[in-house]
Amino acid sequence: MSGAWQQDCDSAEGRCGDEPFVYMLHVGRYGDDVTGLVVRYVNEGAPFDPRTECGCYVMQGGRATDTSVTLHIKLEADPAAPGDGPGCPAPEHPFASETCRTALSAPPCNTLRFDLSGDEDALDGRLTCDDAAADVTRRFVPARGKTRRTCLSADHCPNLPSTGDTPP
Amino acid sequence: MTRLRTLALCLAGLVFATCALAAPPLSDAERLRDGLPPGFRRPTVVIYPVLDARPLAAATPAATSAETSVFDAFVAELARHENLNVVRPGQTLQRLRARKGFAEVEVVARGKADEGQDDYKQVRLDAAVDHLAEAAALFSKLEYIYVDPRTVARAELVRGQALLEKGDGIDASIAFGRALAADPRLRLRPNYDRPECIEAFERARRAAVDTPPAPTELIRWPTDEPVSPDVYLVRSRLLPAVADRPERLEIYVVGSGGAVIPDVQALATPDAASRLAGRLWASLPFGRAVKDKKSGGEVRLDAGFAWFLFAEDGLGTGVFNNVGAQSSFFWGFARNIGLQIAFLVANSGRDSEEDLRADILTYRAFLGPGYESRVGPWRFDAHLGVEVASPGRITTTDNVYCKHVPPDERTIFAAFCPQDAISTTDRTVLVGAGLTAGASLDLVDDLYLALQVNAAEYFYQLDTTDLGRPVGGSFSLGYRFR
Repeated sequence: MSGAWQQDCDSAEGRCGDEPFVYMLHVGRYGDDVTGLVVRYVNEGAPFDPRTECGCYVMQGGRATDTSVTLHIKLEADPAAPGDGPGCPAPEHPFASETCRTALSAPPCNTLRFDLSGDEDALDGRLTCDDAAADVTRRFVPARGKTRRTCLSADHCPNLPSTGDTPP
Repeated sequence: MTRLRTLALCLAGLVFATCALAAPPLSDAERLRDGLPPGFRRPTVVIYPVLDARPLAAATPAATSAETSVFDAFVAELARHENLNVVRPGQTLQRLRARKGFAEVEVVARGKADEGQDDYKQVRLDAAVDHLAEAAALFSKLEYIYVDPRTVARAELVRGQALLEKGDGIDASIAFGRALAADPRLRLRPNYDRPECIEAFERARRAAVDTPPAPTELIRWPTDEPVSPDVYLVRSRLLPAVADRPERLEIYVVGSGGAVIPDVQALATPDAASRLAGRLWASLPFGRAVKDKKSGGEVRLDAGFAWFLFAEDGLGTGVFNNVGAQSSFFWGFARNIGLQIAFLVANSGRDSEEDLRADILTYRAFLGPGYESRVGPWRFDAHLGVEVASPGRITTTDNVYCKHVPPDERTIFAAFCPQDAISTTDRTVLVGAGLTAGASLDLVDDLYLALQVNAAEYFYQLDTTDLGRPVGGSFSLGYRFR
């Protein structure tokens, strides 16, 4: 279960063509607990291009079994919990896309929940935005490269909306 | 990884040092010249009376026994080696008779033989064959061929005659061969015994001269002889000259483990007895010094792999393995009483939840007297004493984010891993009671293999720690110094 997983956009089961965002999971499993990062990308051009990164979130409440993993991320910054909320993309590409800026300033929901199950080759499941289930399933497949363990600090994100601020 | 490599190198060094410190072995001749130490355990060589098969070659053998001076010289030459406990043929016969149940079985066997011979005289051939076969089996069990060869020969001869009259020529021939092996001067009498019997018997005799029967009786370990790694049976026979082979003395050395060493020596060779005795002496174990248990003084050193876990786990991490190296020093200072000093260094693994965030390097030292006893090549020991341990720095957390993200990468979302989520305690010292119990097996010379289990309970802590009650074991290779 540990390692990097990216949303499957190549196969028919993946079906991420119509989605505004795609996700990459950087999972660390410790016994039954799961943590790591969820990195969101704008679904434009080449998928998972670092220049399209649009938010880096810490997994919360992660639990795993041999065949399933559940976790959630907080899309909306919480002033009462410093450090909560989105991380930052690479400094040279500060959320240039209008789609991304909108998503960051007005998140569609507070928490996004991932309920996935499968095996070492693929994880299938639904993403739930607060309590409303999405109408499509998502498939994640193992991704190449190292597991990412951190997001860039706010110092590198001049255009990141600060907690509680009104977005531009 | 570096720490594990260092441990492996230390272990290799300990094993090398253990072997290198061993004194170079002396040759057997040098050990004999230097004199055997008190209490030396000599291999026992039980020499059976020789079976003289040379009269087989003559159609009408001499009435008296041929001289067996070569065999006598062989026995004397072998007995000259002080490291061997040679049981001479006369003593061997006493030894055979002293076996448990010998007298009772002898009575039954002789009774069966008499019964079978009476049956034959009364022409009850089936009964004769059955009774004589039972007698033959009992005689074989008793090794009666060495005690009263004529009785064995007579029983086998009559059994052969009965079988022949029943028309079983093949089994009759085998029975005649066994009769001749027991008494090579045995012959049937013309004008008294049946001509076809005489003819079959003579065929068996000539065959025995050309091709001596397979020596199954000569190479087996008797069921009534106690098994001992220090006892060797030597059975021998003098064989007649045939076309391409001179007269010769053939011996079979049998060990309780089933090992058989055959050898043969031509009698015409100069110093035949001395040559054969020399070869046999060289092929037997030299024997070994047995330490006077009353005086003690044995020192042993071993080194090997060690493993343990802390049964008392206050860290909340669950058990985790500790693997490393151990070296032990034993000093047997009195009969069955010894002192053990052990030193162990081990590196921890991780618990299943990976709450333990860094390896723990632990040192343990033990000092304690104990009891030791030997059973053959095995030694058993148990020691109770003082143990001092020093577990290294312990870093734990049950915060999954702290486990996943290295400290220098927590530049953002630091709130997910607050400082108080990680617990750290520095190296400390623990003192308590230790218990070890083990078994070791002698390999070759003074090398041995040791398996030991150990446990400890700590009563004193220099600084508070949540670890305690180590339980584990070690697997070592050792050397005994005398």
